[in-house]
Amino acid sequence: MLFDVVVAATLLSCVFLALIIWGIAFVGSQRWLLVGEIVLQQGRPNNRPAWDFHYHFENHSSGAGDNVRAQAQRYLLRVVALTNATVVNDGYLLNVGTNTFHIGDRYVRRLRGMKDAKSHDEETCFFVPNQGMPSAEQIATALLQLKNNPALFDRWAVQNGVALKADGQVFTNAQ
Amino acid sequence: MTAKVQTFSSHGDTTLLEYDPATADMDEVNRVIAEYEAKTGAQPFDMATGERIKKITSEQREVLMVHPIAGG
Repeated sequence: MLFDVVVAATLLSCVFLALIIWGIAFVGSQRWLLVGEIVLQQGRPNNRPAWDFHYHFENHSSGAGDNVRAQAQRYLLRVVALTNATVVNDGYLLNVGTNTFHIGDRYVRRLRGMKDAKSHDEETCFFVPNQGMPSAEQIATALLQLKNNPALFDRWAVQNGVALKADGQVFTNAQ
Repeated sequence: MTAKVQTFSSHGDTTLLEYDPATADMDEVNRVIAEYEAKTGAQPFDMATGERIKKITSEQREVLMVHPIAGG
């Protein structure tokens, strides 16, 4: 009688142990399957050809305002380095030939170079007609354009509201 | 190695074109860029030098289309 009970208890223990081992193995395998799927999804090529055109627009930001602003700020710092501009308290100093410009949020001040200029304006506001562009990228746009064509300052000062391309040509939406 | 043409927008910087400069038809790239310029007034700048470029070549890896500015 005692022997039967011991045998039954041993058998039950074995079955219970086998169930535990099977359970661990099954859950583990499911988890690995899941991980495998994620890795496969991440590693899957996007079937994009080597050469393609993304019409307006493939957006690399998450769409959150903070990300867009942070991204714009990073791009601005890149442009500041590229144009050899200097960061000051309330904007950026840019030297181009005999000109020194102080560029801030939607305004440019000419600190040096008025003598040779076409206009004697010391300051002008500016805006990028591309609606909603972050101010850091507007400043980056102004830095790049002035570095390449400092005469644009006089055009911005004199031709209020006229959109000028980087090469100085007037741009109208009708083009 | 891919090359990119990007622009600033209200959604952050945006890729307009991505291509392999070794195999891409650069005339086609420039045709697309010319269309974009006609539509927006943006002109290409080489982001390696910060200089405005008239024509994109296979040498450029990153080009930024810079939008017009108005005073006022």
